[in-house]
Amino acid sequence: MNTTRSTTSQTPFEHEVAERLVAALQLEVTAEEIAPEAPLFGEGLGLDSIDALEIALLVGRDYGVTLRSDAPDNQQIFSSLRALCQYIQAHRAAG
Amino acid sequence: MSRTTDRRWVVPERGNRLVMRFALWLARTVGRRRLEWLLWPVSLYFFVVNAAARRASRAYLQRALRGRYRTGAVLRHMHSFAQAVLDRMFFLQDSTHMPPVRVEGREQLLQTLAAGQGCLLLGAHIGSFEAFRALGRAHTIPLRMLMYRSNLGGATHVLEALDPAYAGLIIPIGEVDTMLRVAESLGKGEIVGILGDRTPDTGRCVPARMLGGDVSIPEGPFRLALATGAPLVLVSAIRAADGVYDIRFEKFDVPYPSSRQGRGAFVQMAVERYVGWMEALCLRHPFAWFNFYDYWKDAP
Repeated sequence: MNTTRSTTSQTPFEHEVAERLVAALQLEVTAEEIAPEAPLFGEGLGLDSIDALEIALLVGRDYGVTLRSDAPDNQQIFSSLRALCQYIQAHRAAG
Repeated sequence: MSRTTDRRWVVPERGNRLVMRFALWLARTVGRRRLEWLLWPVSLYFFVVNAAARRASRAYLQRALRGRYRTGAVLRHMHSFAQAVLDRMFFLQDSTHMPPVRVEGREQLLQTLAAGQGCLLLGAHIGSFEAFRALGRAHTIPLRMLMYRSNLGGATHVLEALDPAYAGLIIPIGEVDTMLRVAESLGKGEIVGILGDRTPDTGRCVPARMLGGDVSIPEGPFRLALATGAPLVLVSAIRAADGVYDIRFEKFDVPYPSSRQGRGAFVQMAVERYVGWMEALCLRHPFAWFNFYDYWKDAP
């Protein structure tokens, strides 16, 4: 991972996930407008817990990564686009 | 669709622990039916001290009773609520002291559950949801309640003490992974109960017309139904004149859309169906409506 990348610009993978989120959640912003480190829930994008469920379904379907309610780090995983993408990349099936 | 900041009901429930503990002790010692005469002075007390509830009750009853509204109706409304709170204690306590229930549409629920996708059981603050919970316990139907928990006051804590399993069955609203828990529960074929007529301050709402006025209805239950694909069933439990609770399950007959584009229209239609159901209940059982705050947005 390129550590010198600006914190405000999306990595290619973040952009891909952002595009899927915009389509699945029918967001009124474009994928480019999702700041990678901005909060997804509450203030930031204003998503709610039902959106979180949609994200979990999408992540399971498209990347084979299961998000569960009893995982202790859910707050962290759902905190931003970047955190979500890092979690997917760390846990997706090899290959 | 709009996001509302409606904090009016997000305040601790009235009634402190000491009063509730006393009522509980009395209820256990004296018995349910013999305690009922006490409900009138209790209702009168709340009628006198709680001006906001009095106003809300009057505004509602003028809509629900129309020309039949009389001054005494507000006191009767509060009495009906006090009766529901008393009965709730016995529903939670144990089956031997429970008020009797009649069930209509049970096969509707069983058929729905047989599909294996669980069920979203949608109610409102009309009558007593506790009556259904007690029925579920008696028949070992797995039931969880989706609840906005952080604002519940002392009264609920004491009621929970009556049924130690109660707290474990609640899925609290407001966590990021709340709905993941709901989906997992449904995936196991369980029932998840929701009272869909109120929303926490972060909830998204849809405007609707009810009893001739504007109300704001949370779209959450219907979006949740779409996200999980779980079927919706309506449930009401209303205390009849003979003291028996009539529990009624009803099919929620709005078909789910086949594409994402149909979702907005579905939510709108579903909200209208839900409001129509509430309105019919209010007209048939005007004193069973237990939202004692200004529910109508176009109130003067």
